[in-house]
Amino acid sequence: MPTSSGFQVNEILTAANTNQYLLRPYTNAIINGAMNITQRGTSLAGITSGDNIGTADRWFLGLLTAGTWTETTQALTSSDAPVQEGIRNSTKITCTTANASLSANAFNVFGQKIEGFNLQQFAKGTTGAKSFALSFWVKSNITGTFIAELYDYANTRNISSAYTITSSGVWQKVRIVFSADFTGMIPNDNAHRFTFFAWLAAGSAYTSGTLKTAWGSDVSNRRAVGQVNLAATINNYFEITGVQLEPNGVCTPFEIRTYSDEFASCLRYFQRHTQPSLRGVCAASFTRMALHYGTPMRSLPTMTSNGGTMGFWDGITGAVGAVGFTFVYSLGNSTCEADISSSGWTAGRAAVSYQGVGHTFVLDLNAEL
Amino acid sequence: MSIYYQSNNPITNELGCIVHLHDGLFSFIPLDISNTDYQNYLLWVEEGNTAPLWKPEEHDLPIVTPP
Repeated sequence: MPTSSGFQVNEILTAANTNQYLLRPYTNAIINGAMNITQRGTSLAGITSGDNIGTADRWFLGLLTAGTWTETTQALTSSDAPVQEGIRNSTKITCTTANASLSANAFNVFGQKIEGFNLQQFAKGTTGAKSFALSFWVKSNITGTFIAELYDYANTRNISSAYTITSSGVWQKVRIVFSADFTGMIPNDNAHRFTFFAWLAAGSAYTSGTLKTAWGSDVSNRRAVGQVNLAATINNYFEITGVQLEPNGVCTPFEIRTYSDEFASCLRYFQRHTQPSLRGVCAASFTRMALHYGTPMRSLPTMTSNGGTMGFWDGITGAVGAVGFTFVYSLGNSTCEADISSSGWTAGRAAVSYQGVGHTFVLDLNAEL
Repeated sequence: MSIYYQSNNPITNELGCIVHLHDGLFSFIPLDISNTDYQNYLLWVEEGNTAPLWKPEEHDLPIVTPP
């Protein structure tokens, strides 16, 4: 029978329960839950503050005066339990500078922001509201109480649940079913409406009340009551993967999506073009070039280049040089057009960029929440 | 040096995007309220700051030249 510990395959599906419990694809509101997509790289060190997406796409590490951290993507092996579900990567967050005495407002949270379009399956704020079934694999050298939280930014409502890591350095699967919330609909739009938080450290501003285990208006000091301080000692770590947030009251096995589907979902929020072919036309002191992204993005993206080198060809002459953008004419959600600072080229000729061995130009398009 | 600049479209001379200087890099931010970088810029303006006009010639941008 369906239980809070998972879906048992010997359950007899009937007309009454099939619709509720049958495994259905694409109900997971989390993108890149298996940490497979890492456009920015697989390691980021020296994280001390802010709201950083360091390695795995879509996943952020939020920090305020709670030590210094390194985030890495780990390739799992046959001895790692999540592999039993077909999960081959995880994100590991390791403390490199400790803070054993947290200030009141200090925090360390790992999580994912979710846009309104991807939350409608929960029917939140309606009479048909569904429970939130959250599951993930976790491992830490620290045992004790950790907090998982869902935060509804559209209505400033939240709910938290404690879970216990029982054995040091051992993978365990966490399954939490948060109740349905019949208050506060989620707008059906592309804005940041929800966040899943895995708390790793919390100051008294988040821990001095009683843990809020029912949906309601946010009360800060009830968000992370009981959370252990992972920042207390250097080399403490928290490793997580297989994150799934689905409607109804059962945590089903982690859904393995195709790599291409997961990658395309991530491209809606961030794209790193390491071999872009920019095409345009030369003018006297600049070259106007355009890029088609391929996948439309969530919002108009911020465009950042690293100032690296790329090849440049006008049909007759070629050169390799560092690239600097002077003006951006348009930043659409599927194309952009910008001027590259250039000199000495013949006006009116076509221009195309290319990337070769040793060229370092990288163009980032960012439409994260 | 400001961390934000207002970049006019050279053809229309109307505000086209915001240039953000950070970590030695320039980012071009669209005027889209759904973009979180633009939201951060608006918060910076709300704090009483004003971004000067973006003049690329005042910055040491690399120039691609023929061999």
